[in-house]
Amino acid sequence: MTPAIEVANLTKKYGETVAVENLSLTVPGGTMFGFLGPNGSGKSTTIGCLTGLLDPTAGDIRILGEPFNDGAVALKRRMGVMPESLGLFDALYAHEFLFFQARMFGLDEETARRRVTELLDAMELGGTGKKRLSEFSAGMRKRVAFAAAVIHAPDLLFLDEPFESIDPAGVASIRQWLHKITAQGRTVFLTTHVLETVERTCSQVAIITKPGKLVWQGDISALDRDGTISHDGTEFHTLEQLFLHLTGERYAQLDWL
Amino acid sequence: MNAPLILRLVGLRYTLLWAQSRTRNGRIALFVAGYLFAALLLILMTAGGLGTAMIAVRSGHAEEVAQAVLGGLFVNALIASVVTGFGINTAFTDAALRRYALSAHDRLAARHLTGILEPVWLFVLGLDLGLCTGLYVFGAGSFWLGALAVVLLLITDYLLARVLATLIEWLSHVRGGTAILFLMLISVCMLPGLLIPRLAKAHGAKAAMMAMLHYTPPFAAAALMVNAGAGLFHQFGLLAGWIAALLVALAAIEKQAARPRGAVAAAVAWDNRYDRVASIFGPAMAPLIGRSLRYYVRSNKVRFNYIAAIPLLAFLTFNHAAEGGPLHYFVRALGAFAIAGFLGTAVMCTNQFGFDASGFRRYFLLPIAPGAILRASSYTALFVGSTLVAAALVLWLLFAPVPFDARMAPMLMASGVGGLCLFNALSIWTSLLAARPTNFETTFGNQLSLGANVLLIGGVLGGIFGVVVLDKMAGPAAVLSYWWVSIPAAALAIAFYLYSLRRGTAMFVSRRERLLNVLEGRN
Repeated sequence: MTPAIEVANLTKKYGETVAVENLSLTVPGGTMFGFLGPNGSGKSTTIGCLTGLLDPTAGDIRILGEPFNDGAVALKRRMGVMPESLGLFDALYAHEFLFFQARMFGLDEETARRRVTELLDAMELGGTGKKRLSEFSAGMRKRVAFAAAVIHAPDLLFLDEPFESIDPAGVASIRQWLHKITAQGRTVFLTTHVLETVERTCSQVAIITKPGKLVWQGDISALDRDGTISHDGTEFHTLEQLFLHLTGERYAQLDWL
Repeated sequence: MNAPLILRLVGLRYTLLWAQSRTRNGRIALFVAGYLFAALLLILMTAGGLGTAMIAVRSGHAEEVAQAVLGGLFVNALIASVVTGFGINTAFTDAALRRYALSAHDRLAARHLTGILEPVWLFVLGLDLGLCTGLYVFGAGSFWLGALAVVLLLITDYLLARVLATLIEWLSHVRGGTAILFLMLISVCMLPGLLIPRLAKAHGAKAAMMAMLHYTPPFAAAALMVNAGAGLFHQFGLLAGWIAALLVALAAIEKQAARPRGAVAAAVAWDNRYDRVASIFGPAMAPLIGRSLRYYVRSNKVRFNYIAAIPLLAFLTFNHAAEGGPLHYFVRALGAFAIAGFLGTAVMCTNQFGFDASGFRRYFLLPIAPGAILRASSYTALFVGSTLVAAALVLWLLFAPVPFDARMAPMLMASGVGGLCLFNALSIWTSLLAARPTNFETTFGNQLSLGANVLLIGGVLGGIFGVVVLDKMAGPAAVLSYWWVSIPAAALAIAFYLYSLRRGTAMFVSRRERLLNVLEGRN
């Protein structure tokens, strides 16, 4: 199967600040891929470059086997993105926003309406016909952003922190849908800080550290079967152990707290 | 009262203002605003305050001149704050202040103390104090008494502006409120024109009117400025009464406005109106324009300016041009038409992406050329503005008290279209070069950047006073005889708009990351 994403030497700088440095990564097609890293390590910047939001300073990106650049309009039709800041138009109602998204991604009016209605019902947002997105709770906004990302049934789905603020039932539903998506040969690329969710959801993981440097990539499906991951001769029983080992993230002790 | 914490919040307000100036644009804005403020204050404190006081004292009508000056400043500050939004920004909402250890009274005090210490009110205070100082220097009053009167006057002005702004904000949210607002605006704009001629003819009306005016804050303050002895307690009582009444009114309106209007659960109702209108721009642009139209129609700021535009311009056209015959109305109307379409949409079109918040990010994830976003946004502003121009033309043809001349309609049309294109072309540049994140929900408060404010205020003043100069220098007959000039002028404006759109599209793509940072508050 063609890799869903191929990144070679991706670098993104903001002036003198390096956000991502020479990142090379391959995401196999049809997988649920977890992209992990500490705060400020460049995850969202990498997603920004991979989705057309940001201009990479250097490097090559291929999405679904084709070169990805500013003019890749046809490729964007095959991608769904749920950005970290959600990217909602707050003055719209949920159904208007989803309908707008569906029409922009080429769905005809009838299909767009049908999918909007189905998605709103599935996300338990059916009774929000007179409520603007600005009035939605954090969890509801997240669900709308997720619905917008999947409404056109994309071949490649980018999800930046998809589970944060969503209630347990919602997380379970989304995980179920994501599994269905990958079972159909489509790819999900997600970032999250909830490592237990990654263990239960993803088969492949990449871990980066500041500034956007890849330190580990591999298969973690063994963890789901109570197995271990081996790295540099050490066995790790959980993804959290591996993550902390690789990133060296530690917080200072506060005596007064 | 938790005075230390309240004062710390006032300090925080100024720290935030200072923080805004840390960007390059912020520094430029601060420099220009500071320079203008200092220069104007100096001129008005010396020439205005002392000069007026000198005239007042020498003419022997100190109190009358003080009444006129304070009354003028009072009304102008009120109009400037309510119409342009300066001085009534809500730095801290009641909800935001609840996170601190403040009682309800403390929160009220903190909100209004930060409000009245906004730079614009300090500017008005400076002007009022100029007169007070002048009268004192020329021996026509007590400085401390005058200064106290000025402070009380400023408080009434601030509170009245807040009452009006809160009332309008509340009306713009309730069902039928827009219609009430429209009627209020029509009344305010038309009443002076209708009442003044009648009052002038009515026997004793002027004296009765003046007697009533003595109960207003500016007249009370003027009396205190020049009469240190007589009626001291009466005048102070009057000002205190006004303040108390306005505080009660403000509390009542705020209480009413704060009532939750929580949206009840409602099934999805497909409303196609926006999409049907947007479809005239073709299938590729329709979803984008439909989205943009919803923003224009649902914005309280735009709605208020849209309904206010024609009454306000009619007021400016028909209340100052009566001398010399009705044809002068026509020359004034040329300026009004040039700004009509822009005035109604300016708060949004000069800052086209400021209301999108994180939605701006989504534009670049859509499978379209990014330039289409800018085009859609600008076309929407043109479209909404053009409805005002069309409405103004119809109203002119039906009701204007001007003898019919076939040259007038094309001239007014060309002025309307040309002005619309010119201002929307300039708005493309302010949207790209001087974007600013803006709260979509508020009706009041000036959240535009310096560039957008210069365009809005400069454009409106240019439109109004440009034709006054034209009228004085050339006269209506000459203006009409050169009627054909309006056509190439409009064509030139259209060409400038198209050029700006083309250049702006390229700039929109190249500046997207910068715009993203600005609009998401990371500049």
